[in-house]
Amino acid sequence: MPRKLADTSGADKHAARAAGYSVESVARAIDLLAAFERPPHQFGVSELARQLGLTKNLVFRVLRTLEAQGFVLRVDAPQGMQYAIGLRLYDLSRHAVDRRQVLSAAARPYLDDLTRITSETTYLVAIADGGLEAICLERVESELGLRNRVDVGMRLPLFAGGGAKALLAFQPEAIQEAVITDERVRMLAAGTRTAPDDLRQDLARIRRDGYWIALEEYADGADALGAVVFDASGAGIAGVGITGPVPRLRTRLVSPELREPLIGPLLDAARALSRQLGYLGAYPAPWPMSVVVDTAVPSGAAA
Amino acid sequence: MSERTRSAAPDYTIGAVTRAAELLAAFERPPHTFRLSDLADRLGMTRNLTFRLLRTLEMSGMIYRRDDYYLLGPRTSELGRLALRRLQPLAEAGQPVLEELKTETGETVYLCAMEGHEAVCIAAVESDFFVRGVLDVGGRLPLHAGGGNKVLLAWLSPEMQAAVIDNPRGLRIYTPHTPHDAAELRARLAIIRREGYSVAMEEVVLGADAIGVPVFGPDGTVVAGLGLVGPADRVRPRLHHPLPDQLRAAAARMRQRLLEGPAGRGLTALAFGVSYYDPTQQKGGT
Repeated sequence: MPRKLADTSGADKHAARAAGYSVESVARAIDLLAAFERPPHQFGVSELARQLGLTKNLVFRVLRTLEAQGFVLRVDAPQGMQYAIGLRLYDLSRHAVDRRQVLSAAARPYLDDLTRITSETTYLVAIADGGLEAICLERVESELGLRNRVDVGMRLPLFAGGGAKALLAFQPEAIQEAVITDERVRMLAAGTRTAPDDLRQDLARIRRDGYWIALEEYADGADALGAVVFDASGAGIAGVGITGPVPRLRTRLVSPELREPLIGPLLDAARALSRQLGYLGAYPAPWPMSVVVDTAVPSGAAA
Repeated sequence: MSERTRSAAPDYTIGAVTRAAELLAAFERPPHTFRLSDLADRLGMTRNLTFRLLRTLEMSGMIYRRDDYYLLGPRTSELGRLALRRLQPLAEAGQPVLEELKTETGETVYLCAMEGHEAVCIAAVESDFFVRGVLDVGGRLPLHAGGGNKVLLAWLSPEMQAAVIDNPRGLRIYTPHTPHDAAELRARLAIIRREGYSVAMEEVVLGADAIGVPVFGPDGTVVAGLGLVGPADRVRPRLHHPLPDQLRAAAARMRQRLLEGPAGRGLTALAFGVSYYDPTQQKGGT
């Protein structure tokens, strides 16, 4: 039986002749560049073909193309000719935006709107380096005298709260499990859920409903709502949240009609921000993400 | 303008990938952010094709769109950093040695290594003096002029040396003291190999002197150039003594770290066994 991706090269050529170009080949080229993320960050054609489930011919052609542009370079290693990422991409990257800049800048107008509509503090969180916490990237404060405090740069737990928990629900399962079973999961306030099964249920619910309502999960006296934001590839990249004092929010949150004017705008903001970031699919995105896993086992003929 | 990928047999490249690379490269020029129409016009492609390429790049995070404008995305940084990651074991082994050397000599010290046919600064520790040498980590260094960089040229294989020295485009002139005569340069390289260090008196920057020594890897081949650069009035008196000894001792310390470190064994091939790629030559795949 032919390998699933064995025809790629042929399909590419056909599409190329037909359409003049195949964007498929560009996606492959990007996958190839990403392959260099693994140590030792340099590989030969056979190894790359094996890793990506592509034919050696295609890998070779893509590498040659990238090499001509300076994006990869050839290394004369003892084990044979290998390739590595070249400095051209590094040079280019000096003009690139970093992930957090992108998110903060994009989110700001949506948070402004959301605060204007709800009168509460709104915020954006992303996964912090290290992976087990969230970090606040942006926030707009409520103007009311009694308001919840969220600061940019503040670390927040992923297992409790509005935006962070919504974000967690759309992370790969391994990350969710790591967070849920981490020893730092503990009662933070009257409503914190800590049992792993309860948390798993909550996360499943978030994926079903598209949002989360956190009643005093993170801090006493504070309620929140949250929804996830997707990036261009459909990965959960951030959480948008609304947070306010219990006296104002609680009665609204526990009533299906009264909570609509909060949930509606929240979801609108999350959807719009996702679109802004390049996500064009249905909201929420499917989870787990459909990743093309190249598990094609090389046939005996592959050298 | 033809947009077909088919071309004469010997061309193994893939048209769409070339176009995508050109698209990314377009962002190098100011203002580094462009609209779809700007990019399409600049590259001579249809709007439709440009959009599809941008979309593919956007989905992987290599390009980011804000309203009507495109710019390079976070993934480009992440992948770009990989270019230096290969040489990171070398930079890490060198960092503490550089710190010590800076304290000892008072001047800016740096490490450079070969990347393709270029020399790259992979680590640097700056002097505390107000007037000091400054280097850009990740920046390129000339091979025919300077301290640590000329050392690399001296130890390159004859073929690679020839490719640099006999480059039809000539050797770039930075100052009136930049070496530019092939025969003279070759003579100097022979001296460098014999003496074990290279000096540069205002070869790259007026007013700045530099010195460099080779760093030998675990298997005895040169894996990096260790250099020092600073204002001539402070550095020149020490150029032949005691700086060469100080740098050589530091290079030996670094070699020891490489021998003891985890990267040690594989490092030679990684850092220095880089074949010369000349885009003007028709090399077949090996």
